[in-house]
Order: sequence, then structure tokens, then C-alpha cells
Amino acid sequence: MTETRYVLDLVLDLVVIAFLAIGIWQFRTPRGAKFGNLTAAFALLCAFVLVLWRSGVVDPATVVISLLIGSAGGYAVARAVSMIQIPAMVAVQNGAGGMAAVLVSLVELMRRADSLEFVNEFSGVLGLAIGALTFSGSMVAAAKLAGKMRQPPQVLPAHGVLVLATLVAMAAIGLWSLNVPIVVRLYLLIFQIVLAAVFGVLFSIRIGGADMPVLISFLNANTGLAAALCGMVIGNQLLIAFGATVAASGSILTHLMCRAMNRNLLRIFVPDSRQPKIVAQGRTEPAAAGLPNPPVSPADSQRADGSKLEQALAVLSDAKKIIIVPGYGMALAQAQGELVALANKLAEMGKRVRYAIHPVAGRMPGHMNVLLAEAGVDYDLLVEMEEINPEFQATDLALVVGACDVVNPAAIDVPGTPITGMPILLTHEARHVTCCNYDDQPGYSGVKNPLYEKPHTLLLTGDAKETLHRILEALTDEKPVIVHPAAVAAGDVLAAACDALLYAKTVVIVPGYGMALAQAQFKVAALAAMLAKRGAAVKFAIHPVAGRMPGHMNVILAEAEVDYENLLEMDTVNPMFEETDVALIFGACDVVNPAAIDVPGTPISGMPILMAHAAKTVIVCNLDSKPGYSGVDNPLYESPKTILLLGDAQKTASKLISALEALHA
Amino acid sequence: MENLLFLSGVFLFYFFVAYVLISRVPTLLHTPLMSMTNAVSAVTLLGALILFSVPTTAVERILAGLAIVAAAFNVVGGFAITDRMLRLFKEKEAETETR
Repeated sequence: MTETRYVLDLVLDLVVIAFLAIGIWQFRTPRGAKFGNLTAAFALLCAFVLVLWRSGVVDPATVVISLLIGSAGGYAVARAVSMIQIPAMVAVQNGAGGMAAVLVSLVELMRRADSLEFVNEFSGVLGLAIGALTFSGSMVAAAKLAGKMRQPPQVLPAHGVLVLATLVAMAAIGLWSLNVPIVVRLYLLIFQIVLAAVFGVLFSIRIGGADMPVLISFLNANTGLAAALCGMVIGNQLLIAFGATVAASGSILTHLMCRAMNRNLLRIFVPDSRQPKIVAQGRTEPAAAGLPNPPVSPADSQRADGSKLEQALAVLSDAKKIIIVPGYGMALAQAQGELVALANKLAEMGKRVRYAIHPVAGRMPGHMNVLLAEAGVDYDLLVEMEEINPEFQATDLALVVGACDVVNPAAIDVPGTPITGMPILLTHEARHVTCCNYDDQPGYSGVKNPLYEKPHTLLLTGDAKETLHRILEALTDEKPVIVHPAAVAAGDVLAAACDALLYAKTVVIVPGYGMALAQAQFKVAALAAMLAKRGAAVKFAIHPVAGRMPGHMNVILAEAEVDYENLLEMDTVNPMFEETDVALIFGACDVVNPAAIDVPGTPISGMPILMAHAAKTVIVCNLDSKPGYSGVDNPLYESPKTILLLGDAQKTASKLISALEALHA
Repeated sequence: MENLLFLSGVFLFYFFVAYVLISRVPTLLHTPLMSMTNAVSAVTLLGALILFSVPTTAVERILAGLAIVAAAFNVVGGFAITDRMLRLFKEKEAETETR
């Protein structure tokens, strides 16, 4: 009878384990994986029911309440996180798994102190240590990934010695605890847990941002191991099998990540003492991370960026085959939406667009795939490194977005760097390379990227989301380039205004008495002619009371030889502003003050105004930002889509003309 | 000793089986894979459950209860987030399944 029962148990165990295996087997394709995930969940549910049926529960209330609390918490968090937070989420869950393993092992070790065999006890003590270090290591990893902790490696004085000392102490206490009376043992085990937790912190704080995929995979393998060891204490085959599965998966991923970075696992956990020096001279802050201060660039470089954007557009338009290389910088800038929109636009234009995914791009294995899937990319467009590398030679354009080390040719050419020998995406073999990176600083490895200096490379520095947005807008040719307030804040309003004018298809100029005072009408007319020559539709909006007499502006502009057909009256032009790319205001304030509509009780409330604020971008060329004659503050000046060019209107117009000429040349 | 051999054998056998299976998973799905196996590692839930199969002391009850909370957080959160993630992966003419 017991014999039959034993066989039945074994068979049922095997069936449940087979379910898990089938679940994993489904992970060969994305479509199957959905089912596979459910199958694995079902396997776990079966195991749960099986254990419940076999051993029963004496205290159902505690079990049910604990289950409810944990499940509700897990489900709520799973619903709330975004895809970029996945690595941090996985780390937290890893930590929870490690903690559960520690607690179970501890209780089991204490309870059955005299009935356990040596093997079970040994596994228990080992499981305790691995569980505890997984817990604390995962918490550090989660804190780093969530930005609660500095990402670069932190090295304590005598870090290596500390790590080694903890490790030796753990081994000694572990062995000692096996041979002592139960009262002493409890304290030893608790001390063991604390030591292991300290060890977990020590090794994970020394691991920097780009090595995160390795750390996460390693911790993943460790939770599996802790669960399996837990199963060894209890003598439960299910726990061992499931734990072994996770350990195997974590090990494979750890190995793949190490290989993709050409790093030895030991070197990641115990970094070469020479390495921090190389990092130190290469860079100060991680290029992609943080982004605390936008670089303050002088007008010249900004202007150069403007023409670079044009070059990039030309390259993009000519290219037939394009490969996009996303990196963690893309994720940080949250630029995947813009990137995918651009890629779709390019595909619509008949180009072949694919994405090249480096195995360690991002913060965990396959991170980029998830982010791009979230942004709606078909997964058949996501191509692995080995598969796509031979194709770069026949590619017209490699578009690198927020990636540095994974496309750094120094990994091939330059011996002795931290990345030497690391497999990279061969973007430098493409006919053209365009990089949308935050800056030209080296990536996490600290190795300067010679790709940026190649003659066929265009480097568009700045926020990737912003850059891609401008490219897309320019390609779409419908809307103007909406200039980011940050560019304005950086003090480069002139460049911002030029960019806006450069891509504007429709421009409405609003002249005011200030223009007449500054005698700027000739320059304004010249600017209008210039924009019209570039293909923009340029109109003038004339407010009935602009100037000092009815129709004053018409006369002044006629003097400057503006065709009267382009002078539009308020009622005609007002409905057009919404479709206008740029409203260019010269020396007008009250007649474009939206407070006349929004704010009751002012001297101008109810006065009809020119609806310049409805335009996509507003450029104001006024002497100052003070209120006009009415004395009512103009909220238009504060609007995020407004670019304020303060100073003499005639000079401003001249500056705009020469800046645009320079861009054109 | 027999026990040690048996348990280690069980571990190695399943490690090998899983290794073979997981080697077939494309890099495309590595994040969901890790997230899913992460949920599976909460199998310690069973261990915690077994702790409750005999009468418990107060301390044991607290510790084992905490273990269940942590493991349940891990298992439910893990499978739920994996499911959410996998639904994002689209094929060209993939039918959209919504629940």
C-alpha cells in the first residue's frame, strides 16, 4: 500500500514538473510564450494543490491571510510598473524569493534540529546563506535600477579583503553551526544570515550600471538555487526540480551576458584594481544616466547642430536600407515612442528598416526587446547581433540611438581596453552612421568611441527624444519643429527661432507699432521674402488698431514693398492661426494678448485680438517682455511654445536673416 | 549518503533538462523568460506551506507566514508581469487577444 502511494506521488510530481517543462518549451516563440507563461503558472498551482492535499494545513487562517496579502501586493505592483522598470521589479521579486527561502530554511532547520540528516542540514545552512545574499544583493540592485542609489560601482576601502573575510566567516560559522547544541545554533544561524546579507551588499554595490544584466541574471540563478536547497532540507522533489529550472535559466543568462560583454564572471564581481583608473580618466559621469544639467552650448555649436540635422535628414532620405541600434540611453530618454514613429514613417517611405539588438543593451537580458515591443514594434523586425552583423556592409544608414559601448569599434581595434574583445554591432561598416546620443562622452566602459570621429558619422547630441522628434517632424513636413523649452532655457533662443522658421511651411507675421518705432519694416519684409523663397507661405496679420491710425501698418508695409495681397485682416487671418506653423510677432503686444479673452476685468478684456497664440510656435521679437500700453501682462510670453527674442526689432530681424542665411549656405 | 546522492541527482537531472529547454529560448524573449522563471523560484511557497502541516509555535507561525507573503508576492507578481509583457509582443498580423 505504501509502495503504491510512493509510486503515485512520484508520478504526480513528474506530471507537474512536465507541465513546467512544457511551459518553458513554449518560450521558443513569442506567440507560444504567452501560453507557456500560463502553463508554468498552472504547474505551480498544481504543485501547490498537491502539497496541500498531501500534507494538509493545521493553521489555515494564517496561511490564507498571508497568501492574500502577498498575492494582492504582487498583483498590484505588476499592474503598476512600466516596462522600463521591469529590471527593478524583477530584482525586488528576486529579493522576495530569497527572503522566503531564508525563512523556510531557518524554521525547518530549527524545528527538526535532531531529526534532520547531515545532508539536509548542510543544504539548509547553504540555502540560508544563498537566500540571504540574494535578498540583500537584489535590494541593492533594485535600488540602483530605480535610481535610488548611485549606479557607478562603489568601492569601499579594502573592499576585496572585506568580501573575502565575510566569505570565510560564513563558511566557518556554517560548518560550526552543524555541530553545536540547538540553543547556540539559533544564534549562529542568525549571525550567518546577517553575514550573508552583508556579503550580498558588498558584492552588488561594486557592480556598475552596464554590468547590471549580469548581476540580475546571477541573482536569478541564486534564487533558484536557494529554492532547490530549501527543497533539499525538506526532501521535496518538486522544490528541487523547480529550483533547478530557475537555477539553470539564471546560469544560462548569466553566461550569455558575460559572453556578450566579453567579461569573466569573476572579473565583474571582483573588478580588476586597474580598472577604476581607466574609468576615472575616461569620464566623470555616466553618459546616459542621470542627465542632470543640459550641456550649455554656445550659439555657434547650436547652429552647427541645426545644419547637422539637415545633413542627417538628407542621409535619411537617401537611405534605402536602415538599421536602428537602440541602447539604454534611448530608454532613459524615453525615446522609444519617437523612435518607432520615425521608423514607421521611414518604412512608409519605402525603406527597409530593422532594429539590431545587442544582447547586453539595457539593464537585463532582452530589455530592449520588451521596450520596443511596448512601443508597438513587430518582433520580426528585431534582429539579434550575430544575424545582423554581416548585413551592416550593405546598409545605407545605421541609426544609433542612445548606445555607445555596444557599437564601439575600439572593442575590435584597440587592445587592452575594458571592452577589448567584446562582440559589438558593426555599425561602423554601414555607409553612413547617425548617432542620436546625449553627448560624445564614452559609455559606461569609459572607452572613447572612435565611431563618433569617423567621416561618415553624424553625431546629433542632446536628448534623443527631442532629436528624433525634430527629425520626424521635418520628415513629415506638416507640422513645424516644436522647439523644446529646454533649448530656450539654455539661452539659445535665436537658434531655436531659426530652427522653427527653417521647417515652417506656413508663417504669419504680426507687425505692431513697435516695429514701426524701430524702423524694422524693411528687415521684416526681407525676412518674409526669404522665408517665402524657401517655400513657406508667408502672410501678414493686420490688427485694426495696430499702429497709430487706422491702416497704419498697411502703409508702413507697403513702404517696405510688401505685396498687399499678403496683408490679411483680422477676421480673415484669425481662423488660419491654428494651421500656422510659426506666428512671428514684431513689436506687437496688446493686439496679441490672450488675456483679452481669458482674463475678465482688465482694460483690454473683450477687445478682439489676433489669435497668434493658436499657432504651433510663436516667436516674439519685442523690445522687452513688459506689458504693452494697456498695462496688462501678456501670458503669451510665458507659453511653452513661445520663443522670446528681446531687443531692438530691427536688429533681431537682421540676426534672424543672417542666421538663416548661414544655415542655408 | 544515499539521500545526498538521490537529492543531488534530482537537482542535476532537472538542471540539465531545463538547460536544454532554455537554450532554445531566443534572446528576444530573455526578459519575459527571466521574469517567468523568477516567478517559478517562488516555489518556496510550497516549503512554507509544508511548515504549516504540523502544529506551529508563535515564532514559527510569524516566520512561515512572512515566507508565504514574500513567496506569494513573487509568484503572483512574476506571472502577472510576464503576462503583461508578452501581450506587448506583436506580429504583423497577430490577432489581438484581450481578456
